[in-house]
Amino acid sequence: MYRGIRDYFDNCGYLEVDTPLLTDSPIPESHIELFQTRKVRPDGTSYPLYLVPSPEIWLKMALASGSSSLFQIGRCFRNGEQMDKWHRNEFTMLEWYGVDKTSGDNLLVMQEIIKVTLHAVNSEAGEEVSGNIREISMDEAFREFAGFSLESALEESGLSGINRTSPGYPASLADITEFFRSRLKEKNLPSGDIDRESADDLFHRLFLTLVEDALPADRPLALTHWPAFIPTLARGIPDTPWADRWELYIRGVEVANCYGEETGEELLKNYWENESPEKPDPDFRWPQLIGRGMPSCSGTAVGLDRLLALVRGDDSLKGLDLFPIHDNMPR
Amino acid sequence: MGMIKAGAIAKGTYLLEKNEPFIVAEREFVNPGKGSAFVRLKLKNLRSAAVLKITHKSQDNCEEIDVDEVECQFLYSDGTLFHFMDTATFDQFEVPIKTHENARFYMLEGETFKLTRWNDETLDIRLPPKKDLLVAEAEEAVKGDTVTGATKYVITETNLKVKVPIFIKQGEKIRVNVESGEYQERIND
Repeated sequence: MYRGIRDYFDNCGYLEVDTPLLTDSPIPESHIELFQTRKVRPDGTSYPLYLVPSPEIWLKMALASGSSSLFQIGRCFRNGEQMDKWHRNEFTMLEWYGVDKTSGDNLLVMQEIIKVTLHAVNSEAGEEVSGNIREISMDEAFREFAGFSLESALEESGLSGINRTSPGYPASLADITEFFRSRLKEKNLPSGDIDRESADDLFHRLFLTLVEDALPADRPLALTHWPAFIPTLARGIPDTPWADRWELYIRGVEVANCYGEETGEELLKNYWENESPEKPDPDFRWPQLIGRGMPSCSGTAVGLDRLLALVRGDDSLKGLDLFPIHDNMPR
Repeated sequence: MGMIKAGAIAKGTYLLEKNEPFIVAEREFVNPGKGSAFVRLKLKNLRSAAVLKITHKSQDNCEEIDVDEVECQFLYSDGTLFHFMDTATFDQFEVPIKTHENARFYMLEGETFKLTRWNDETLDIRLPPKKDLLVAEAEEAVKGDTVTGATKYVITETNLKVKVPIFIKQGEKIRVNVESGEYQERIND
């Protein structure tokens, strides 16, 4: 499979890169737990290093330094994840960036990657894996399965065409937070401490309970147009409340995500500031370096273990565990 | 009653949701691409047997039910209720069959079982993974029907219909998988 993927990108003129697994300044993502280790100096003093949760920051730095389209197949590490059917603390990720490409272009590339994988393992998987990717927007999905238009709600809250640095943003965010809260109450859904929860947690409660599970799984599905208020590094689509982002589901399992990448220095800085508070050692040189040099591009990250397991027709990652470790280790 | 973080809930945990007792039938972790960790649960209502699918944030506090494990003797079934006796206190009590449909095929009068009880309510009857049952009714194998893998249906002493190999006869004992209801082997006592 790896060879097939490498050949595909090679033929398309992408550069393969191999970036470090250890870093002293990981990308800030408030929902990802990191594996921390320590670098010991010869004199016995030490400082923290982290295993990368993805190669994103390195690849973006390469692009900002003038690289052409590029890709990497590499190991990634995420702590705190439960080891269950579809989660591992260590996994293999394919990440690629196409310069001057859009998230739509990358969806076509994604279809090719699925084909390459099917071919590599001689899979006879049915339409649910090999079929053409169906596109559904988040608004369509909410109208169909949650019974209301997310777009109308976002627009009424004033979240259309503004971003996190706009003056009216906090008021609009408070407005949509209240909207989600009342929807959860109205539907009598489990709510935890919803009076203090952020808009994106409340959104995910609605999305995961009413929508995600109900999405059609008879063909691979790209869920497009995610709300821009969810903090990510995807660019906003002008004059809409949406981010240029899709997530790919195969047989209901999330396999890949893609952004039309944010390249504005101010918004990158804002992201770093907001995502950093609980994270170790944020390095504020990154948004500056990336923002000043990154070309217009779209990047996609694929969980290759998940893709391979799904293409093989497996119901979990178990069949790929050569040397399994469990949550209840050590004995 | 204790509180449990949703992220610590396992299959088989007893929960109180909306004042109804549930057992967790399935648990799946969902970490949306850019969001908090969530747990998707499939719960079985222990009163109505209805299935409830809910999603909790891993950090949500849920109410876990403190249950008692009680050893009980199965006395008899009257068609709507199972009648049990607590073997320690000799208290007798009933359990509606409709909440534990499957149990009626695997309990013989006089046998003891562990029951999961909460506030005088039976939440679960612990059945063994396998159960040996007598074949009460079986058709005779048709002569000449010797195709390997040929099967037929028999009825056990508990009125369970089981698909078995053609050689099984009335009065013989068979081992049945309790969860799937499938034949496993013939028992020669």
